[in-house]
Amino acid sequence: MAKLTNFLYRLKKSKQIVRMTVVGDGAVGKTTLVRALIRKTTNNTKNSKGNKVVDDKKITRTPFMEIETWTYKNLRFQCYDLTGQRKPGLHPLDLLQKQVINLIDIYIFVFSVDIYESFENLNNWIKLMDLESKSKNETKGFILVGNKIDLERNVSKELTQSVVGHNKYFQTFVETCSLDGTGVGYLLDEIVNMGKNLLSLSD
Amino acid sequence: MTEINCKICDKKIKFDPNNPETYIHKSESGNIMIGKLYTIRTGHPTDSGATHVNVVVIDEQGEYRAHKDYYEEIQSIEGTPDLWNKLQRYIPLELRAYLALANPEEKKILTAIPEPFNKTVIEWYDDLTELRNNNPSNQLLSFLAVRWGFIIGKGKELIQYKYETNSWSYLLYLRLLARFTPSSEVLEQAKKINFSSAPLLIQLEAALAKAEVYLRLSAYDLLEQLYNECQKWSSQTSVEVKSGLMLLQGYFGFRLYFLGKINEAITLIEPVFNFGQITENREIVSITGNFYAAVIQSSGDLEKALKIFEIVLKVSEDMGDERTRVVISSNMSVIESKQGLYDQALKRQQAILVLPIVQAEFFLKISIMGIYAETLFIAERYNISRRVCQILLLEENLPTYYKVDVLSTLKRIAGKTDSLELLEFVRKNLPDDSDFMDSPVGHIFMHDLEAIDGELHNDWMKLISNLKEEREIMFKNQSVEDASDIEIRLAEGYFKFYQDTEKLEYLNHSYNHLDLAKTIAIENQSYLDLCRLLILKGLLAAESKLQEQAKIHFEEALKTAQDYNLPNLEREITEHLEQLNKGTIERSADSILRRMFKRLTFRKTEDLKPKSKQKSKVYAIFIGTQDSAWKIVLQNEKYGSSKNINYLLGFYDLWNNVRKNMLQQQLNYFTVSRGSVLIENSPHFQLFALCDQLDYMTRLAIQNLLPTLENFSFRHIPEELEEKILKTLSDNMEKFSKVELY
Repeated sequence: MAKLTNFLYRLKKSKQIVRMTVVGDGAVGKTTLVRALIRKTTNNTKNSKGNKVVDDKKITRTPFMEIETWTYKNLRFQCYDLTGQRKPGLHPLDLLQKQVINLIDIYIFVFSVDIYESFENLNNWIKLMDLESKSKNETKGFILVGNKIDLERNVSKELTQSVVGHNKYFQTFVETCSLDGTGVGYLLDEIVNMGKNLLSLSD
Repeated sequence: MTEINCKICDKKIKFDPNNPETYIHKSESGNIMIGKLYTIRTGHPTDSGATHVNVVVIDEQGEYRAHKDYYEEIQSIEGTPDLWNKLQRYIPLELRAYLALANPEEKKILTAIPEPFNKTVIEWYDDLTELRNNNPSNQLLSFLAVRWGFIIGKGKELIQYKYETNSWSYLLYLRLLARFTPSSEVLEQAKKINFSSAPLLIQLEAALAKAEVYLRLSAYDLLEQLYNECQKWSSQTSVEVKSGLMLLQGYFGFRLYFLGKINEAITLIEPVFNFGQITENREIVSITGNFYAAVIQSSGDLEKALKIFEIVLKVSEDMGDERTRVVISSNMSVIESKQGLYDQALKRQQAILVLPIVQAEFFLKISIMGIYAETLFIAERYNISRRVCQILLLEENLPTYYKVDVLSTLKRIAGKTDSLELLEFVRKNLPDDSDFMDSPVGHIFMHDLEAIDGELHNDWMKLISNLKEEREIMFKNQSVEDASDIEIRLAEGYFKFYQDTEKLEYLNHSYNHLDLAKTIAIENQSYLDLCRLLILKGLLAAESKLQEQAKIHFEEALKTAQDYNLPNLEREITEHLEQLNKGTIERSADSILRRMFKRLTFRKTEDLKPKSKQKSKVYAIFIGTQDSAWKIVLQNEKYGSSKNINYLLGFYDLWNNVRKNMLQQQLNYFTVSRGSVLIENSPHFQLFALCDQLDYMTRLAIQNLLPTLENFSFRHIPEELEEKILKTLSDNMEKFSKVELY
């Protein structure tokens, strides 16, 4: 098993693959955020069904999980966008734990700045993914994203800052608006830097 | 002091987290990630008289961290903000109706229940109990807490409190007393309650309390009287009143089940269960669901009963109701035992019996002990079963229904173990309850007792006549659960009678009853039983020196054993066939027959095939006379067609050409390309029926048609005869119409 894991790490490094999982409550805008990231990168993008990604996606709920891949700044990104609707036993976290937790480089936790509960509930996602201890070491990336900043802010910056920084849950915090693209470029840069760092760390 | 801006009007609001006077409510929130936080609900009045409510999150130092919610509350006429409306939306449905009884002061107290209102079952119980404890003399608040506790199965806890006889909660207390410590005293207390000057909802509650006490203490007359009296409210259209009346109907319907009137009970209980599901009233679903499943189980549809139990189980899990879970679990064990999973059923029952909730509640304890004794009996552990029954009979205040149930198990043990002494014990312990003994269940019980008595004294006529009476009462009440046993016992009785008298007609009767049992086995897809019944038919023929017929039955049995992979029976049949060929089978047939009859009644079920019963479709019927030209051809108004008529007529012609040969072989049932043809003969009539397949009830209805016609005084007048036939078919099967033949 260890041999296989080593092989996968070597493969990831040689192919410069960065794997990400995006989690958070339902309706915080995870899928729209992933679309916005893709729009910022390249046209050569495919989703899990092999179809070209349609940019103007209507408001939908991700039923289970969507896998998106794209290339940007010599890195190949593989992104797991998990459904926010948690049905115990049927969520990707229950069924595909290895794929969406264990072999991941960067975890992106998304909340909506207008819904306080979506921020409070991030703790449940961390617990569910058993990441309490992992989040405080440097071998994985933990990004906190406050989405929908075009809407009214109900979660103060002070509160979000309290969980970001050295030896805290998240290494960085980015505020975004997936609709007009605010903060998406910055988020992408953070992901690229973090991805490169992590790939060099795995030497 | 913490300062925030109102999200509605931007006004600055100040409050001191340590001074409750400055805010509406404070609760602790937060988690390990964001640390310890507090949620504060603040409100400030506006010029329009409304209140702006801001729900904010602050940290331990009182610093603002987030806004959870904000909204405007408009004052209602009574001066209670629309928080009241919110509470009404969120409070459990089963309590909602009673909020209409709240006065302004009570509304104020109730709206102080900490938000959010989307609480769990237990959170509601805790909050309502807190209100009750803080306002012990308040009628409504106490009632809400007790009622919710009652619904979610907190009876053991609730029964410890003291209740004034004029308090609304007392009504629930009485129901708990009837469950935990039933006695004639409780019955007297229930009779005395009078809430006629209370609001209508409470009057209904009083009626429900009486209904439960009357049902549990077998005061059926009082229950009937109560049910009739309450019909005065039946013109009320509100869902709340309707819910109460429906629940009452459920109790009334279940009384009919106790009396063995299964079909009447279904007619009353089924709509209540459906009503409960439609209105999502968990109390109705959980109470009447148990009733409904028990009744359906008695009608022989185990699969449907299991589905109903599953629905009720889900509701009780939602409610965290341990009591209902126990009841359902024990009921499911009954079905497991019927499906032949004895060890599993016994294990489940043993585990349930030791639970404190079971030991504490009289009815739970005795009903589960009764079920345990019954399972032990079916699993052929007669000695332990007998012991458990006798322990149960020592219980004081054992209601008649449970007593008869226990005696019924003992009676069957007597039959199985040939114990006249035990049968006498049962007779001596019969309940002194004329109402019950005059009910269908009482009659069935007594006929069965006499039938066993006949069997133990080799009085076959007594056995037969009692079983026939028993069967008739059972069918009248749609209770066909034990039909197979009765048919096999009747077949045995007739065969023994044939052996004593050597009259061939008794042998024919024996075959007919075995055929009915066979139909049940086919209907239940119980191939092991089917194969055994075919062997039995072969042995019967061999014992009656009808070698050719014996061979036909054994060969059919062999084919069934091979088709359904029953190697043990295959070996047994091959042995019988060999003995038949050598001419030695007669020597052993009688003892094998006795053993097989014993084995097939009140027995373990080894076959675990799923049952999917389908009602027969009888397409066409031909009835002719044995000695005149009169005949009638009928077609089913729903499924009939001229093709079926022609087919049946063709079959009739063919039959009349080959009948002599066929009659010798005792054949009266054929599988044909269009389904099945059943042939019945009586002294004056001959009947042919074409159907897709034959279920037990249809076959019995067809078999009973000719005797009915024989007994019909105007059978010689064709018009009267035709009308009689059409009416009998319409009453017992389906609507048929006459087809003119050209």
